[in-house]
Amino acid sequence: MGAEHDTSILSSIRVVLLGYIDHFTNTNAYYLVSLVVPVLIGISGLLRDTQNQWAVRALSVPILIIALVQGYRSGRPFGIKISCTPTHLVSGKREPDKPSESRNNILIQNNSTKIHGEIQLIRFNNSFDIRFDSSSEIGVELETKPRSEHSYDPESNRLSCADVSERRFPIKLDVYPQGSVQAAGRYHSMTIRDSKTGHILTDFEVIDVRT
Amino acid sequence: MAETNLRKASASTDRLEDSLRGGSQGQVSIDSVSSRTVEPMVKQYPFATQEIIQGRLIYEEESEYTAGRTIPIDFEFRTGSSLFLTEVQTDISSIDSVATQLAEAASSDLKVYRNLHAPEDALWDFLLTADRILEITVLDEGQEVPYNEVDGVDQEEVVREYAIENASVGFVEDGHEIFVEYRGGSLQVETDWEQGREYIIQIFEREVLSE
Repeated sequence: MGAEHDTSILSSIRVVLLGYIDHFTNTNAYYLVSLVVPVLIGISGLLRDTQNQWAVRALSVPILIIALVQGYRSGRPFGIKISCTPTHLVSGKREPDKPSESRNNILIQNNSTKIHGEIQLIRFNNSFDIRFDSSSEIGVELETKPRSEHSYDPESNRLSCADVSERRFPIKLDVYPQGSVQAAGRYHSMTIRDSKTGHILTDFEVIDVRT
Repeated sequence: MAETNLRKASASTDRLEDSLRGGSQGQVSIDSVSSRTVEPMVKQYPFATQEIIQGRLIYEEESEYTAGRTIPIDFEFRTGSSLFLTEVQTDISSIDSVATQLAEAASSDLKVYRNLHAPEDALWDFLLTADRILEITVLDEGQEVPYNEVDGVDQEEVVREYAIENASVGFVEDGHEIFVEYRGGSLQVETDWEQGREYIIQIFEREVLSE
């Protein structure tokens, strides 16, 4: 029930709504609705019979509902937030790479780049099941499993927990090249996805800047 | 002083000893392989019957400036806890490369990961049982800071919560000193005590790696 690091109810609702709206306004269903509904309302204005007017306007409702439901299904889960900061070593000390973070990039400068992240589940979400994916020329691996109660399978690169006792915890990822720049090229990608739906929770462009 | 490096591995065969025997890949060639059953040294040891595949490999280190070195490295795979160890007397630049080539030399029946995948909270518990804590640094939004100097956060709140970056601790057992360092996702053990390495590894297996 009450896990550690619970966000407030208001904050949890806000996270879910903002995430949903952000996703929904980019779906095709949204564009369709934003075209079709005004057209229907316009057509209804041209009709003489009041009953017919309302009948046409009422058509908007199922269209809107279908679009909203489709938006939810194509974008979920909304109850998990992942934030990541790429880091680098400066005189032997680890520091955040702010320029890369602002551009959503991860730079590969040697054979290991560490990403420090945080996962926050909203108040009513007790479980998660995420997967770390990368394009084939780079690898990504967790350095540590965040909590003993979590399960990490390095083969499928899946981190999950069915019933968390802490809703916020840090993660540390190891991103590394699997070949030379000549063989593998410079531009790659890394994504963190929800395992069940395959939907992207966060993604990065990975740039190999080695010579 | 010998340096022992620990990381996670997995074997996809019961006959790993045979797969390793006589194998070679790139700069790595396997000199000898044998197996033994572990001898428990600590109380409530959860892997009391585990088989340990051990051996020696020869690593041909290349150098741009000199003729390069031939370095013998002792290795061990502990089948119960899935730990992979290498022990080397001198400093070499990349154990990662050695581990990868060794795994390939075993015709891919052995997979050695880059990190320990130890649960972070259990790792904290293990480090805090040390007799001397020399240094523990954590990551605060990607910035490395000592664990008792996190801005606005008490030490008690940091422990078991924040991601560890580096840790150096000392254990004293029977008058012997064992120096343990956690860095870059793997554990290093240094000690002059012959059984010290096995002792601390068993403690680590019991405290961190058993469910």
